[in-house]
Amino acid sequence: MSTLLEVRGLNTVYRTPAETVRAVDGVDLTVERGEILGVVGESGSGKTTLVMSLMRLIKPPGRILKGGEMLLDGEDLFRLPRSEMPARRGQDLALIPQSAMHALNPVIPVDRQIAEGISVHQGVGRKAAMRTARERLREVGILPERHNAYPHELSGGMRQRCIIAMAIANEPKLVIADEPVSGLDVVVQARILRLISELKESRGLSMILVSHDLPTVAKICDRIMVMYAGRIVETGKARAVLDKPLHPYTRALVEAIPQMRGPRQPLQPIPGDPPDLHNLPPGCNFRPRCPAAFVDCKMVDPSLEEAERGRKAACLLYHKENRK
Amino acid sequence: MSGALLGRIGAATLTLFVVAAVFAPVLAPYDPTLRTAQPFESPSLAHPLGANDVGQDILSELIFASRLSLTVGIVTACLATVLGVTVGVVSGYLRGPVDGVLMRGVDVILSLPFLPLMIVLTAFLGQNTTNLILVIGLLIWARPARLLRSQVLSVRESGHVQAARAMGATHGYIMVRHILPRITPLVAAQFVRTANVSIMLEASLAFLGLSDPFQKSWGAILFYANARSAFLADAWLWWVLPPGLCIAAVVVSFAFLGYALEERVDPRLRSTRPEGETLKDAETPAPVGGGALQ
Amino acid sequence: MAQYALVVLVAVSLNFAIPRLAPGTPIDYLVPSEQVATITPEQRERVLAQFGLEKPLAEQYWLYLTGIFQGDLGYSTQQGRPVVDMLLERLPWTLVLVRGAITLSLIIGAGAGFLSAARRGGRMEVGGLAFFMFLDSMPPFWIGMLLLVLFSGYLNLLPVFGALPLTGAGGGFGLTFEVAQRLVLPLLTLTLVRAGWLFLVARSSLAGELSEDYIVMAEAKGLSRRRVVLGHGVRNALLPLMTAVAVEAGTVVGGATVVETVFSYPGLGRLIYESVLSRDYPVLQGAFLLLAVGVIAANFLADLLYPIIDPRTRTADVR
Repeated sequence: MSTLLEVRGLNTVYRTPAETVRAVDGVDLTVERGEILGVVGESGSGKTTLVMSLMRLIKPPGRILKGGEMLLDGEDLFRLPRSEMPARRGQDLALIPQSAMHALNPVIPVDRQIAEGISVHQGVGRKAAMRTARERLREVGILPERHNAYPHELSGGMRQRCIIAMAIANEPKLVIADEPVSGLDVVVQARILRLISELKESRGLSMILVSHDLPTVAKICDRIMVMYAGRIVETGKARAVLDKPLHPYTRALVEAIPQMRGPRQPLQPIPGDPPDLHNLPPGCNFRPRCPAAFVDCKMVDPSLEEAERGRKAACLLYHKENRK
Repeated sequence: MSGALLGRIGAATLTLFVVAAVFAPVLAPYDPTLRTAQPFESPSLAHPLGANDVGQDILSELIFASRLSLTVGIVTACLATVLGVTVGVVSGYLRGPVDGVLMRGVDVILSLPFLPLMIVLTAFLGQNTTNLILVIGLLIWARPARLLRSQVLSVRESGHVQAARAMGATHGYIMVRHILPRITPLVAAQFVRTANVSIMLEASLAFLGLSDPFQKSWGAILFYANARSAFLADAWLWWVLPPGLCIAAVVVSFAFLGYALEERVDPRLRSTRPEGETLKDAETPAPVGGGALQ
Repeated sequence: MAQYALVVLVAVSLNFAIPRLAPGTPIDYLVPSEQVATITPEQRERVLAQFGLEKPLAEQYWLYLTGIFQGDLGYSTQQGRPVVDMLLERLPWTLVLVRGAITLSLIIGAGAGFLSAARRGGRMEVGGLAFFMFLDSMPPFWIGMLLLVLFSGYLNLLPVFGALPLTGAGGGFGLTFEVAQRLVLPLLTLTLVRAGWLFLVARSSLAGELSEDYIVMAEAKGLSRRRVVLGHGVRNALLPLMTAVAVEAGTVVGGATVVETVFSYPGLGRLIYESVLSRDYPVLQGAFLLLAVGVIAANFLADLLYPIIDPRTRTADVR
């Protein structure tokens, strides 16, 4: 495997006259070719801002701070002039947005919406673009007679499939999916996830999959990053993170998963409220809710450090000086 | 941000006009009903805006006219707002057949061309200020009624309204004590809008010669100026320009104020579509001024 | 459909009811105003019989309705001519004015409104907004008077138009030229007034569309901002805008009434003004009815066209 995407020092802030909120705070991440990287976090953890930053679609008052790097196949996309980004979006980077239900233009048939992106990138005529668009729609399991349907004529699951077809239309290097199955019922969720796994196998998709739902992500991802208050607090292989969470926050997330097998156990909700980015505590951001917090946590803001082989955690418990 | 600034400008201008209207007898140099100058006299120190065709001082006319223009605007707006709120709240709260009948009535009123209808009505009923207020007020309440209804539809589903219903509160009590307070900001915005529309409609009717012949509003001053072809001589500068500027200033101030109020109620108010309504029912921003001449 | 039939019926019934509910007797509205005081009892009887006013109210209503559907709107008390003839003479003038103003104001007002929404947060935003709000707030007749001062009084570009008969000198082309000359200022006035309103509608309409999620997706697809705004935002914003224009047709007609008055432009609005001054009630009522039917027809047309241009309203929403 070789590295496809390497992001270093990504900071995205929302600046208003009154205050500056750091929605994404010094995030580093890598995606290998053919890998699905899962990003997990509660709402308000900065997931969507991270996704939109990677697409460079952050709108004022949001801003990506200078100094970060986003190397895609060795080329720093953050250094490209803004005017060159449209040519990259959909071609190098494709998005599956959060609100898939409303992400399709309501007054244009879906095949034409997909063809639009194809003809822009591949410079082909309308007919050829439509042909490709229909191929993609078939690939994601939309029956040919529904190809020229308007979005409101399709069910939620089908709309989601159309969005996926749109994302893979130009065979992008990287697909970024923001909560691709939220708002769908469980059966449809499972089908969409299976479709994503299949596409990964058949096309060798590289993908970043963002979700608040740890078990879902763990099922189809290779590696997982856990986000809290705009920062990465833990990374590792999906299986390993789920089996043996290190960071107390990840542990709380895992404990909040209902268990289907084994003895009945009461669910453990995470105590306290999700972090308020306008008003973060001193020291570790998670401290107010952390069952394992000790005195130092109030003073030291822990950095993300290697805790075990292939595992990193941003928690004083795993910093070298504290390990036994 | 810009909305708040526009709102302050609007409020300040309106205050100025209200002060002028209230203290008209003190501020106006002459009695505007008396002949105090030569007919068509040009401006001078004694008569800063000259005189009209019968020798009345135009500045005094203008100051006294602000009383009538503002009164008609505000009284009409009160009438239309009360009607609009009543129909909107009852319709949105009770739903069902009552709602069906009321909204059908609103639709009918909204599809009639207002100004021609008002012209016919005032021509038949007689030209006096009371009739003018009634005719305008009884037609323009329909738009606020429809807008408030869709707001009430969503408020009635909120928790505390449902709770009050479950506890057996009467419909009347719920409408007055629970629904009304929740829609007050929107009512304020609609009041401002309605005042605006009334002032413009009054000016138009007066300009067409349909106001009380014994009371002059800004529109009526322009009626006489037009009838005497004042714009053919230099007289347009002091006889045509000032009344029109007054109307435009008051209307635009109301528009600014309304814009600021609506932005405070809900910044997205202008673009959201109430659930369950077709696109056509969705509120297109009501015209604020000249556009309001329906 | 039933809705529109109902509105027409309401308009017709209003016309029937108003003279009968107004102070005085219907006679007052059927003879020339200067004769009302001097009319003799015999003349009175004759007029009553002529208009069927001695019959029961229900029968009067029926006769009135059937008359209207046969194109009978009564006779002018001033000119003694059939009201229908007088209206049809003026109708083309108003149609040309109103259609022209709607088209031009759409191009100018909606164009500027879309531009303002697409460049939100730009330096011009507050200024542009204030300008068009002001334009929308000026009395149309006042704008007309000022334009008249400017073009006729100072620039001497155009003659001052009285209600002069068309001379028709110079044949067909000359006639067209005369008509165009009369049209230009009223058209400019009405266009300016409408442009202010359309700016505000277009601006908020596009701003609403641009905040929708499908805009983000269109950008993520790799379309340029320009293409996203034009091909998706404006395209979708146009639909509600077109409806708004049709729904507000009555407003244009109201504006035309006062603007025509200022310029002595020989349309229906001017006819209304003349009828108000001479108390020619039948003409006044006929003009109102014609305008009402026109406005209702515009609304009806919009309802018919809307499903064709907006697929969302074509089939029931399946959620």
